[in-house]
Amino acid sequence: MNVNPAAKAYTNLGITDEVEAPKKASMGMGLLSRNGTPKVEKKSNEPKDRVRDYVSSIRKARKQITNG
Amino acid sequence: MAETPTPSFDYPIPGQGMTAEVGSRPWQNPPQYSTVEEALEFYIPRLVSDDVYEALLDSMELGIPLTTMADSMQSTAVMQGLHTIDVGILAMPVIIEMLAFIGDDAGIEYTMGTEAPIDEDKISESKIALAMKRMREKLPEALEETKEEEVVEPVEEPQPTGLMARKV
Repeated sequence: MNVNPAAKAYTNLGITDEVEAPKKASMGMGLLSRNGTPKVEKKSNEPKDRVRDYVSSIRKARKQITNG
Repeated sequence: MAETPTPSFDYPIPGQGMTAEVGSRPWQNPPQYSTVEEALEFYIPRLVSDDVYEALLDSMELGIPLTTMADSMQSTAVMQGLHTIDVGILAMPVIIEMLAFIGDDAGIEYTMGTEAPIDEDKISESKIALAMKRMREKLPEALEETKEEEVVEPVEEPQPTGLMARKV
């Protein structure tokens, strides 16, 4: 099956619409609480990841245009 | 006295036309833009430039998928030695998204080209129609063949010849 490489590259980025999780206010954020120190997620800086960021930022701008 | 033709060895070797010295082609040299960011800095200003912008909108209105447009753009740049194929493949999603942004901004309905591929198990109407047409073409021949096979010589039933037999 002949697939356009551009279509394959575009769909293989695997961008999903981010949904912000609601913050739980009841969680303790003090120094002694276990959840006090926020977990630092290691973010990869590979070219593919950077491209994913660029595409998602342009997509956000597109949504702003289409939603008025 | 007639001169006999002597063989000439000045002709090109078969396949010579498809060869060139290494480095004589643009894509055999180091690319002009070696990273995705550098390549995008080349593409994005070009996409929004006056001469390209109008042509892009015309192509979108004609129904050319954005993926096809992005693919042709990056392969042309590879041939010109602007960047490698790898950088081109990485830059393509951003180009497609940028093209979609331009289309949205201009209010044009475009096709992305990333729609789900056609289900191979589902036979299209055109294929069914073509098969039916072929069958109709072959049908008279097939019918004749079957008729020839079906022709059976009539078998005469032995009539009773006894004294009590009724003559029909």
